[in-house]
Amino acid sequence: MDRQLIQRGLDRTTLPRFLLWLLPWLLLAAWGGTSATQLFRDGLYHTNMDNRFAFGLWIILDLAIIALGAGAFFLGFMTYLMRRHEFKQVLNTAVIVGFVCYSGAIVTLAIDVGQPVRAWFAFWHANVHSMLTEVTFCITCYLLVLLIEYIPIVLKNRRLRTVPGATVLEFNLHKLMVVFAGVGAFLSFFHQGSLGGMFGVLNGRPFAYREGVGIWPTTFFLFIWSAISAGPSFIMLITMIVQGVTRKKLVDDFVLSRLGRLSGILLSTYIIAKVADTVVWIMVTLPGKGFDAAEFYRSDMFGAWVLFLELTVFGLLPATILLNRRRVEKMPWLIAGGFLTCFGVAFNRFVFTLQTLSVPTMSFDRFMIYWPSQQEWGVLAGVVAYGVILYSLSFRYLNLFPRERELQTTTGSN
Amino acid sequence: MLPTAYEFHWDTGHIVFLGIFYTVLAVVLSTVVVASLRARRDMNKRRESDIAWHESFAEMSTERRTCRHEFDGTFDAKVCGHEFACGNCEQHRALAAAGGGDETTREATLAAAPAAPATPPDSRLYHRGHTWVEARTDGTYDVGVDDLLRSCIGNPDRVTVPGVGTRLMAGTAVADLQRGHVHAHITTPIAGTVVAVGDYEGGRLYRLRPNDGKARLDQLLRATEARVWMLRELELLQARLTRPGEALALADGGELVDDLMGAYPDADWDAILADLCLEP
Repeated sequence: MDRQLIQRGLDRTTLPRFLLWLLPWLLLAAWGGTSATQLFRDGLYHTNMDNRFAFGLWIILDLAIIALGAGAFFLGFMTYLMRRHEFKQVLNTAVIVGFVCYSGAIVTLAIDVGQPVRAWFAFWHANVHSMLTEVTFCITCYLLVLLIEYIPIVLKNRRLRTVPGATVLEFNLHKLMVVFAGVGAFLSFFHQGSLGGMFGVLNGRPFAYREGVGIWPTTFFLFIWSAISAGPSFIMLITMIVQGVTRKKLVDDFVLSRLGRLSGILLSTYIIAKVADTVVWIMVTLPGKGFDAAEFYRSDMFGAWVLFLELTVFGLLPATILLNRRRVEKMPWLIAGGFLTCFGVAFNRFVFTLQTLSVPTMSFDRFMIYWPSQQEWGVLAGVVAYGVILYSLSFRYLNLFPRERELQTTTGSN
Repeated sequence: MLPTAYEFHWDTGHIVFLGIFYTVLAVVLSTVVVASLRARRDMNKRRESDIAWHESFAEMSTERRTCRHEFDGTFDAKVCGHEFACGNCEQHRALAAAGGGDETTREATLAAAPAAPATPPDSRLYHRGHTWVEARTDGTYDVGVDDLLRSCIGNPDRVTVPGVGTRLMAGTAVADLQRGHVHAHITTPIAGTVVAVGDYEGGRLYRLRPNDGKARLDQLLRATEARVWMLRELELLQARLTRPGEALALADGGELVDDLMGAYPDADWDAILADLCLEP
C-alpha cells in the first residue's frame, strides 16, 4: 500500500526506515501535545510570562516562522505574476513550508491566547484600530489561501490521480493559481507589515517605537522587507537540507543560486534601510522622547553586540556573500549566506520581542530577563516536530520537486 | 465585525478595513467556486482523459517530448509544444503541405540512423506510448504493443483488454499488462469501438472501428520516424537500466532479449514501464 502511494520513479526509503525517522519527531510532537493540553486545561500559569513579559517565546516563534514562511507568497508572486518560471522547481516545497509555518503559528497563537474557545472574538468583535486585528484577519485568510494551494499538490498523489475528477479539479484549481498568488502577496504584504507595525506603534516602549509614513511606522516596511529577504533563503536551505538528508538531487543548482541571489539583492537593500532607520531612531526619535540609545544596551543580556550582530553578521555579511555571482554558485557559500540571513531575521524578531520588554522605560524600572518554562519549550518543540512530520509525509507521498524524476534519471540512478 | 455586532460603527476605519477584508474573502471563495464549476463542466463534457493527458505531458521529461520532425532531420532539436497532437501544430501542417520538410536532410538522417534492434514494420503507425496501429482493408484497425515494450515485460501474467463493444477515447489507458506487482497501462492510440479482442500474439491487443468511420492518425509516427524514435527510447531505457557508477554502453546492432524484466529484476520497472507508457 505504501509503495502504491509513492509517485512512480521517485526513489524513497523503506517504510520501516521512514517510520524510524519520524519517531523522534513524534516524541517531540507528543511533548508539545502534552504541554498544550496542560495549558488548555490549567491556564497560562504554566508559562513564565507575566505582566511585564506578555510576549514570550511563542511570539518570537510566531514572528520568526511567519517571516521565514514568506518564501511561499514571494515565490508564488515571482512565478505567477513576474513569470520567473525557474522557481516552479521549488514552488510546491515553498507552499508546504508556508503552510507549515502559518498553521504552526496559528496553533501557537491559539495556545498563547489561553482562551481558544473565544478565538472567534478576534473576528466578531474586531478592533479595526489594532494592528493585531489586521494580522489576525490576514493570517487566517492567507492560511486558507495556502490550504487551497496545497490541495492541487495533494491531488497529484499517485493514488488520488486515479480518482475520477481529482485531476480535473486539480487542473482547474491550478489554472486559477495566479489569483491565489496575487491574493497571497496582498495579504502577506499587510500582515508581515502589521507584525512590525505592532511594535512600531508602541509609544510607551521607546526601544521599539518608530516614526513613519501615515499610520505606518518604519517597522511596518522593515518587517515586510526582511521577510521577503529571508523567505527565498529559507526555501533554498530547506531544499538543500532535504537534498542532503535524502542524498538526492532534487532541483537544478542554478535555481538554488538564483534563490540565494534574490535574497542577497533584497537583503542588501533591507540592510541599508535598517541602518538608516537605526540612525534616525538614535539621532532623532529617542532624543525627542528624552532617551539615549546607549541606555538600552547596558544589560548583561542585551549589550551593544546585539545591534552589531544584527547589522553586520546577520546583515552586511550574508548580503555580501549572496550578492556575489560567483559565490552563490558554490554550495558552501550559499549555505552560509542563507543560514545567516534566516538566523538574522529570527534574531531580529527575538530582539524586537524580548529586548523591547526587557529594557526599563521608567526611572524606577530595571532590566528584566525572561526564560521560558518547560511547557513553552514543549509547544515550540511540538510545532517544529509538526512541521518536520508534515513536510516528511509530503515529501514521501507527493511530488514536491517536479524535476526530481528527471534529475534522478540523468544522474544515472534507477 | 458586522453591522449587527455592537462594536460596529459606520466610520471610515470600519468600512475600509472590513471592505477590503470581505473583498479578499469574496475573491478567494469565488475563485474556488469557479474552479469547482469548471471542473464539473469538464466532467460533464467527459474531458477527464484530455486533462489527464495534458497533465502527464507537462510532467514528461523533455527527452520524451521530442518533436517528430527531429526524428526526420527537419530540426536538430525541437520539443513538442502541442501534446503530440500534430494536427494542431501549424509548423507540422506547413511541413506536411510542403512535402514533409527538407527531403535530403530527412533521408540522410534516417539512413544514418542505425537499425533499431526491433525494426518497426512499414505497415504500422506508432504512438509514443509504445502502441501501434495497423489499418485493415475492411476499415478497422488493429492495435497492439510494440516490440520494445513487449521485450521489457516478457511474458505477462495477465493481459486485460477492453471487451467487444467498448467505446474508447484516444489517449486513455484502456489495457493492462501485469507481471508480478508491476502494471503497464496501455494507452489507446486512436478512438473507436472495439470489434474484436486479440490474443497478444505479436503484441496484438484488440481491433477497433473508428466511431465516425475515419480514424485520426496525424499524431502517429510513420515507421521511418519510429525507427529513430525507437532507438532513442532504447537509449533512455538503457540509461535507466544502468546502475549508478557504471558506464553506459550503447552497442550498435544486436537484438533485445525477450524478457528484460527477468534479466534486470532489481530495476524500478514500475517507473520504467510508466515512462514507456507515458504515465505520470
